[in-house]
Amino acid sequence: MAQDGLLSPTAQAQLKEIEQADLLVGIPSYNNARTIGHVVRAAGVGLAKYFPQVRAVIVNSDGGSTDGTPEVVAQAALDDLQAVLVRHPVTQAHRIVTPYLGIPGKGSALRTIFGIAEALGVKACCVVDSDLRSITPEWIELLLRPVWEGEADYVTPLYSRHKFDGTITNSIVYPLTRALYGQRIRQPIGGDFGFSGKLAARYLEKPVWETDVARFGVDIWMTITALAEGFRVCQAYLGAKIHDAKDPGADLSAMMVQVVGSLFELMETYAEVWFPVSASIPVPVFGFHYHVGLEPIQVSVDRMLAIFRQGVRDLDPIWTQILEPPVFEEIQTLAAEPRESFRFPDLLWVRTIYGFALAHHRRLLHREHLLKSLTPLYLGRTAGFFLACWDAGAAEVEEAIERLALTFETEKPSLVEAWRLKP
Amino acid sequence: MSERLWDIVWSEPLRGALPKLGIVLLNTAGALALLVIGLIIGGVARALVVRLLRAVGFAARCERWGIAQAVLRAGITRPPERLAGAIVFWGIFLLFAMLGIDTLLALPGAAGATSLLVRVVPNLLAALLVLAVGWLMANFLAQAVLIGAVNAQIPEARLLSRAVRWAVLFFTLGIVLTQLGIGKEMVLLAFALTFGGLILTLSLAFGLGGRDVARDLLERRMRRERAPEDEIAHL
Repeated sequence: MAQDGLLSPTAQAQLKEIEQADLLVGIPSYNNARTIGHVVRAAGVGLAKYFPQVRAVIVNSDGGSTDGTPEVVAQAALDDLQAVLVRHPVTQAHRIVTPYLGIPGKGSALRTIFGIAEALGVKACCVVDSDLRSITPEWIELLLRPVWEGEADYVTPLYSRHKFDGTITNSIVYPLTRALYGQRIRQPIGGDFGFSGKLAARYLEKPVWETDVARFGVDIWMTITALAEGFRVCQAYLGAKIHDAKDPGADLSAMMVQVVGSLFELMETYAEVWFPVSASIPVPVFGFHYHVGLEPIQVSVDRMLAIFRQGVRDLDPIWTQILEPPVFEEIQTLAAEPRESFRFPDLLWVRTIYGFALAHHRRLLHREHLLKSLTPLYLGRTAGFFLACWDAGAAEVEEAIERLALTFETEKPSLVEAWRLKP
Repeated sequence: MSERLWDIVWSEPLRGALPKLGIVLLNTAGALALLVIGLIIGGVARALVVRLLRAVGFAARCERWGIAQAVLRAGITRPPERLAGAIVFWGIFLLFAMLGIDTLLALPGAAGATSLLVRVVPNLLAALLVLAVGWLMANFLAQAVLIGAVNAQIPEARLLSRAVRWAVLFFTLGIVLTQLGIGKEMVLLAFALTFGGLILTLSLAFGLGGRDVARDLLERRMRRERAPEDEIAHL
């Protein structure tokens, strides 16, 4: 079995015992004892309620938690079943709790889940984050159903989020992915996905499991692989996403390296795929869209502007190597603008991102330095966006993101030309 | 009488000098020949190196590794493959020139030129290598510090970056001088004194002169750890 090297002896014994399954819910984890019990229960109830006749398995792929996460998973009782079901399900989901092997990271955890999916011959799988507080049994149905019924091979989530939340997604990942691969996937790195057994097997074949994909960036890698290799994609509306508070010390520039770096890296892999794409199409959405109340969040625009202005003052030896002179000059002019009138124009932002993508491609700088030096510019763009949309409603903000995405699309020919000019 | 005088004045010195003159001329010709051979071999080697490096995309690799930028920053505008070619040319030419000096007239002072070269060159090359690595490392670390300091909102980002660059270059220079055997003890002492003095000065400046700044920095750091200013999820 190809998965022999991926699984612990206990997990292999469990696989032999289960033999075959049709559905799989994967939960990668690392020290999530506080929340994972709720996630496991939601998964179990979701399978029992919406797929009562189907053989299913819940897999927890753990990265060596020290807070008792695997024990919580093993002991999580499905005591909610009577509250949601009229009849007891015909089958109850099996549960596999296994440590993953290989490089520490979410990628390795998912690899183990893909391996188990392939070994059991499952038809549809989904993965959900283990720190979710807002997951309901309906999420499991929404992520699995389109694949189970043969409507799609890959399901991305669609969440209701605060208008200022997910700014890397809104200003870089979504519009760039859309311009490059021509499909409007609103949350390409949502963290919760559905996919077919066929796609899981395809992921396993890829020679990326000893690279950074195993550590980080696996979300965007999964989405772009599915898009670039022609798998059918859809979105599932899941409502609000509330998860456990993240580490407040999480470094924004490290996020840049991981997410934007992965995106740029994939541009190399699939250059021949994205070159000819000149427009984008909507991606079907499953699920009933409803409005949810979102908690207000605190933002410090002044702090963002201060970092942007310091970047303009101090990072010019680096940015002049990356950006075209007119782009850099415009950024310098922008830095002198007072807070009230400070706006970071869409076109300037698109040219900045394309400039960084080209510099990454041409290896003008050490890649980590390049990506980390994007942080002040990103904060400048984010501050400008917040100021422009301060009093705007969610719909207006969405329109602004749409305008940005269109600018990414209209400017794409210049990116393709420059990329081809100097491979 | 006149014949004797002729012998004393001209013939005898000439008989004695002729073989020596022959040797001098021969050695000069040999030295010149070695110089010409050095020029030719050096020129051919340079052309070969340049072509080979172009074929393997040396310039692009140098850009990728940051060597091209570092070289450019040092004011050398020559393309990397031509720079490598020039180093090879001058290395070969220098070797033949030393052999030529050895051959030329077999002068007492020049007799050991080649052996001196053989003795000195390895140390010189090692020192050059250390210098090149130190220089690249200084640029790399200075850039990393600059970006990190700007992202951490440290106002003196450029100053920090420059300090790191010069500290690494200073340290490199010390290693280079030690490698070359120039004033080993003096270099060691100078470094110990400079670094010790620098750390003491900085500690005093920060702890006494910049007491308020230090307190402010620590307070800001602790505040940041307690309560993040932004609540947005970037992803």
